[in-house]
Amino acid sequence: MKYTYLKLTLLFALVFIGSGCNNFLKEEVYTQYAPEEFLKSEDGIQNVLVGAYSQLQVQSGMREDQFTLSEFPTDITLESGGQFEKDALPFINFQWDASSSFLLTIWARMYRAIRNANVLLDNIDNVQSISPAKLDLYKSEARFIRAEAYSHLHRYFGAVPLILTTQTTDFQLSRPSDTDFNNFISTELAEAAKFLPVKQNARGKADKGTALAVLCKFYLNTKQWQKSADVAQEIISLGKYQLFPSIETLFSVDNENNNEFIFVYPCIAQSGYSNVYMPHAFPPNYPIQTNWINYGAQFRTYTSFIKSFNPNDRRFKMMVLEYTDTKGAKLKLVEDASGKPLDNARSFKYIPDPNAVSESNGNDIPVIRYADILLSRAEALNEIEGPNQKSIDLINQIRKRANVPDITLSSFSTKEALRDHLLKERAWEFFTEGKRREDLIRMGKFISGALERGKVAKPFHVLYPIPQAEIDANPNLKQNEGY
Amino acid sequence: MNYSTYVGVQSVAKRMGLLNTQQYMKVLNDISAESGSAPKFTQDQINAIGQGTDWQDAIFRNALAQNHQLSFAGGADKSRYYIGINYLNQDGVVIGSNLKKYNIRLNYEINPIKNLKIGLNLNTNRAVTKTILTTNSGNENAGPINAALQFDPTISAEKNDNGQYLFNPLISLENPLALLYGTTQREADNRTFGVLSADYNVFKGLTATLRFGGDLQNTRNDSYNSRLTQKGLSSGGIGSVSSGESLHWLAEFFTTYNRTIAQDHQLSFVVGATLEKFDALSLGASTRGFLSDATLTNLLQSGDGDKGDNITSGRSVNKLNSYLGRLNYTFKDRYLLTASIRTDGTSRFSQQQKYAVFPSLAVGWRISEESFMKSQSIFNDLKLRASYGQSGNQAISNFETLQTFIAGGRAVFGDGLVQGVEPARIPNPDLRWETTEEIDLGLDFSVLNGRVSGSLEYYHKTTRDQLFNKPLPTISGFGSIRVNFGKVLNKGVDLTLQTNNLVNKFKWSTTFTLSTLKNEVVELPDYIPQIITGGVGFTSNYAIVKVGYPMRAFYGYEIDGIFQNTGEIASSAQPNAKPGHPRFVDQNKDGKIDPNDRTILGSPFPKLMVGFSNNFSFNGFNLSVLMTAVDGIKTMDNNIVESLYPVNFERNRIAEHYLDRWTSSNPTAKYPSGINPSSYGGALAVNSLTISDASFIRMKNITLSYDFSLPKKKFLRSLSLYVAGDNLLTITKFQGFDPDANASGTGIERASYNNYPLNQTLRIGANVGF
Repeated sequence: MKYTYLKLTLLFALVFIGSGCNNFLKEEVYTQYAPEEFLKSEDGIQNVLVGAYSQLQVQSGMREDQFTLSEFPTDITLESGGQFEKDALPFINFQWDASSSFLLTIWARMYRAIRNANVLLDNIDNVQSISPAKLDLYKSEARFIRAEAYSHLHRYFGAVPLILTTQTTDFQLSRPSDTDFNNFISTELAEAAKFLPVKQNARGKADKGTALAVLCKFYLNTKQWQKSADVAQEIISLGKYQLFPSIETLFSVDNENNNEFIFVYPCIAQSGYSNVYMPHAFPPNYPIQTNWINYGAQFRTYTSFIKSFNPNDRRFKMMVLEYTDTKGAKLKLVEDASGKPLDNARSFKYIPDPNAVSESNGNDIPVIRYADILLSRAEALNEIEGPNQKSIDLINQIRKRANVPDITLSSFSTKEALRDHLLKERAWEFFTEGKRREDLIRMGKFISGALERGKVAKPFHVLYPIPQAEIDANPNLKQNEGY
Repeated sequence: MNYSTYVGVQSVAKRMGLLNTQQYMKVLNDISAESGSAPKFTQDQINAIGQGTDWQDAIFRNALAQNHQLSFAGGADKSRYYIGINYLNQDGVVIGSNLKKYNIRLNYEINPIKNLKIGLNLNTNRAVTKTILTTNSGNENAGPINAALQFDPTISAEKNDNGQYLFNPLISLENPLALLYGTTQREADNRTFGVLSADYNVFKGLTATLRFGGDLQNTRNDSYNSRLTQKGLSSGGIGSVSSGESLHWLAEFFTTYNRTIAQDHQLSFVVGATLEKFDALSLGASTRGFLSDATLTNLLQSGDGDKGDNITSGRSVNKLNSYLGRLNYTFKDRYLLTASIRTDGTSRFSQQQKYAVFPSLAVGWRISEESFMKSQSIFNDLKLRASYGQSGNQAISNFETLQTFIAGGRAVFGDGLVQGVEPARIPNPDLRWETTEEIDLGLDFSVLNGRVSGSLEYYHKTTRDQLFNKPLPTISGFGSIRVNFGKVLNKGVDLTLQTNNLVNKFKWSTTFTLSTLKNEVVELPDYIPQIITGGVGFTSNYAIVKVGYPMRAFYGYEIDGIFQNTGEIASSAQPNAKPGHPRFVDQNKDGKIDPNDRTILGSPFPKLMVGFSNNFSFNGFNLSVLMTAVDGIKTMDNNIVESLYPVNFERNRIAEHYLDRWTSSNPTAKYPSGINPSSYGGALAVNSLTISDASFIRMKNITLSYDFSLPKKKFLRSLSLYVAGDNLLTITKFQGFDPDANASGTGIERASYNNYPLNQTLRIGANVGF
């Protein structure tokens, strides 16, 4: 009896194990979403849109973007100390190469934004429940994100492979012609602007002005002067934007809801989503609140730039020229006792967030503000017709706010003279905002200025090299000249 | 009943040779002077500094370890048992680290009825580890070992009046002691695993076996960063707790049939099936801004409620299913044959690719059993064997064949965070089992009455369809895709030789092992001509996968000297170099140094591994000495990178690099000048100075023991005492802590970077039988 029972049990075991296994190996997914389910609702599409926006925001990467790549190789900012020193030096000294992880980080992040926007554009037409108005809005936002990402890449690398769908496995793309690439960006931005509302429901989303501002700057940087001037006028005519009265407090957390910032990376005092500029700006042993941190990395300002300011300029008030450290020592940052430049003044443009958590400050980072649009139009008009009253008036709007005397048309006899002034005006206005490299390149002073600072700069340095890992993975991708 | 114990003291086997305080100040001043900058330190400062601080001294210690083990065994006709209890308490050589482990093991076997045997093996243990931060971040987030190797030696190890540790405001590192005393990391792990089995003898020769195994593990990790650290101070303390539960079970059923036919033919068959499931759940929470450091991670709700709170959870499941059949046949103990076939299935591959079949075949010929060998007396045993077998590997992550979306990419709108969604990967539904085919040829022998025995084996292992993360152009929005690709060959010879040199009252025996290895990529698909990979610290892309070279061979720039003068530079491929800068080899002779000048700089696999152990015994004394050696292996040494290319000027460096650096008065120096190193760094930092030789010879263990000869049938059955030393001596050119270690958590490319130092241990112990 016992034996029969045991034999039966064993037989059952055999049958059990032998069958039932088809389902046993089915892969169970507990933490991820099936695309066909997820992308069929408006909520799903909105979530994808958020994912696309996120790649255009700080995500602890904009520091390299705004400073390492855009200010260290210029006449405004330099860096020493901290973990950053090793990575900053090549950019200060025009010794960068294609292995820089910063280049790859920016490249990869922008292409993730493009990918996420493409996911939306590839799938949104399958969602029946979205109203036509919403459909246009979401598509325009995605097209804006994609075009902004490409224009961002263009600033550093020139024309880069255009990938416009996720329905492909061919990633060994070559580079399009400059004309095709530039046309793509300008068309997409113009199209997006058409359907975007003048005011979105939250700071950080793209509205009409945002798309037009990116387009205006793209035209300016590609020297399409008339188009840039026209788009600038279109932005002005929206009537939405105005200069914030007090430039020296514009960048504080309290004044984030201003009408001057057109395109912004919104920040909150939370790690990964924050503005981390100030810990780099505090000089050594600077007295700080206990909830702040002072990094070893020192973002310093060239004394020659400090010396160029009118002392009454309200913008100059954002510079720290001397301080008393925690040990009571009085320290000068501009020149030493013998008058030798120390290149060590600090820009405190982003007024420290009283509620910062360690390195994380909540100050929004403006990408394009109204002042830039005014100066862009002034510059474009000067390039078209030489010094003119319209340009002078636009520049004087900026100067008035800064409490410096107006300039007059009669002081500028040539296009070059006004261009030179604009370059200076833009430095005073936009230091610490990551604009300097593109301004110098556009005005043809990027390489000559570097040579004057003693750097071994070559004409090819106006573009960065495409990341080596990308070249290694894609034989069809041609490296920029000189690298 | 047996009791065994040891007490030991551990210390760091080898420290890194860093600049001492005086050398550090001099080197920094010299470099400043040569670069045209003001000296960093005044002569008064140098005179006043004295010893400064050796930060390795500050964080390392001699650490105690003790181990106790008690076991009982017994039984009667129908049941047998074994109970083992173990306790280990081991301090780590870095201050603050400790491991406590408690273990109970139970084996029980009964025969409730005739022909049925039921067995239970149960093991339950608890381990509590206090670890140090081992992060390799380049800034304040770096762990204490990383910090100690680079921290400013002119800074005092004392705290200031506010109770804070001192730091250098430009160095971007926490004080190593602040990291040791200001961060708490505790990991508790409770684990129970066991197997319940039933063997039933159905009839003569046929046994059916059912086996059920389970492994249940609960872990909890606590980590707290107090206000003693800069980071903790500005964040108001940072605390996080994570816990996990994992269950792995395995069910096996198989039937064995044994039969001997006509005395000379021995046959056995096995057929069986297995099911296996891994199920892991996790939960984590972290916050900052605590009311006080006093509560550590025990009161997370006292943290700031909204700034950077982070809650995570997860679950992952994967499963395996196999069927197997095996046949053994032996004729007269002379001819041996084993043939087997198994089918393995995994949940990780798509429906069409889940299962794969892996056959194997082995034959043996025991020549010494042949009649013509009976007359000779040289060979006691001589056997030739050959085998062929296939095996599979499915070690990839879950979902790699599926297109899914994940919660990722949070955006800030206004003053709030919104969760976004992104595609998780580019799936590869064609993924299939990686297959290794192995051919072995072997010879086992024993001669001179067993005085000399050993084996010689040749192996030839080909792995095809390797599961590999292939870098993708990131224009795809992804960094890589999992593919089956290429073919890699591993081949070599294993030799084992055991000799009983002296067999009388004084006994001496020797075991010698020698293995050679040749690893080579033999085939890559057309669409992947080569893959460049690797990442450790700030150094990346130092390894290459290319036909004709070892897998992930080191790939970078070759240095063939140091520039002595401007004339030499003018005629070189580096017109912007300065005297004292390294001279890179222009491999393609195109007059410039660019990525096309990278070349193979070495192999991450050893060519040769040797073990040499000797055992001497006399009158109850026993001395054993084990030596090992590894030759022909290289590693990417990121500590050398950070010494030759310091993260910032203030950081300390490896002494050799700077005491023998190029200056106009030291033109024959081995190392470059250290003036503006970034101009010969960046991608160029992957070079023949930083890819370093990791060959070594090590005295791994020496044990001297004494067995007391005890009168029979007394209270004590046996007693032996021993003294042992581990890792007492290593001979190597390698500059880091341990040439044998691979950097933690940096992937499969071999690299060395701030590894936990190798321990040198002295132990005394006893084994007692009651």
